[in-house]
Amino acid sequence: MPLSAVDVSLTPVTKIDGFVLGCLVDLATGMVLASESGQGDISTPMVAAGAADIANVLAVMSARVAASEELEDVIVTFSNHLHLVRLIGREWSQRVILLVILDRRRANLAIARREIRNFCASVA
Amino acid sequence: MTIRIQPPPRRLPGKVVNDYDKHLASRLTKLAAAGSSGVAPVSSPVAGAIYFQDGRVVFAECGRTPHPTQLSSSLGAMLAGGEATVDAALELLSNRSTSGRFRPMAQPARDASFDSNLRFDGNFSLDSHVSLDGNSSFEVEGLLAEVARRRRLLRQMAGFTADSPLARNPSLPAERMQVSAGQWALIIRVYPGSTSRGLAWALGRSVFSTTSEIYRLIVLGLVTAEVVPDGGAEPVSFTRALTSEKGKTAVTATRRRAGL
Repeated sequence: MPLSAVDVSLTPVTKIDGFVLGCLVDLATGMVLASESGQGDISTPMVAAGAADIANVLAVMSARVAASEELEDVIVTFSNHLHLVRLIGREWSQRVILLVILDRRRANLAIARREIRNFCASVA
Repeated sequence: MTIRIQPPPRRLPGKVVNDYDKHLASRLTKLAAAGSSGVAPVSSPVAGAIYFQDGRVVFAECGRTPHPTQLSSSLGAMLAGGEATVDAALELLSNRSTSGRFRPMAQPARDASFDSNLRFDGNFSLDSHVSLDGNSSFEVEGLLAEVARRRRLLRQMAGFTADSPLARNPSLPAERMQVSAGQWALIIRVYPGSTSRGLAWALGRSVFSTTSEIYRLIVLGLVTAEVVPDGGAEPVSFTRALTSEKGKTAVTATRRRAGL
């Protein structure tokens, strides 16, 4: 992990069935704040940048739609992996996203979403 | 309280290549390799300091970026400290800098009077100290990679900088729009002549994150800047900042460090 910008342990997230990679990303700057990698050959900076881009594009859409709603999470389904992105904190000063990548064959999506939601609530 | 922001630096002779000032970066790398603890002052053209503990950067500050505001949540407080360090490092490494003598200290501490008088001239004062808690720390290599990434992001902003004058768009581009609390806090403070840097100081936020957020407001059409023609602002892409030729180098270095 190149940076240790925050002293937050991602250990609870690594225990989710099918865990491949997890990282916290500052939505305003795109900086990876913390990361844990379980297996695989996935580039953390690249997936983190992609997750932050997705969240920011949805924020632009939300601004223009103006439906009085807030983005909570995003699920991207690939053939082998699930990318789950959840927003932590609503204040501008701590708009951080948690990205968790799971092996689709081993993960239970409902349980994973619950674990991620609980983790984000504990960190916020 | 009047806040004095250091004026924009006069460019020194010599070149800052695309990523960062190689001279200062080389010095920081040597300090890290030696496992140094202490303070590396930077005196010109932007005054500041970079604090080391056992070869890692635990804090950085400069006269052109604000110190972190105390936040109530633990995550917010940690974010603010780390972001302030990277924000200051970006400013110091973006100019051809003159660095002062490294001051070794077993426990690096910052000069608390730096806030009020901005008299940092390379002579570090030992009169009063605030210990650094070291919650956020950075490897120099990772910090330099992050500075390079942010400089690539800034280059996507079509000439818009933290010092570009702003103005509020008098008419909304749509019948109604939704913004976050943070975006609203920025919009209501934009007056003719405002800058992202001034707004960052007013709110106690990172200059880079404020600049990025203001640029998003320009893309949305809520704020205008003379340097960006109407309708000419493309959203910044974090992915694109990694997929340039330099970006490939940054990703490769990260994977090498991870043993991949």
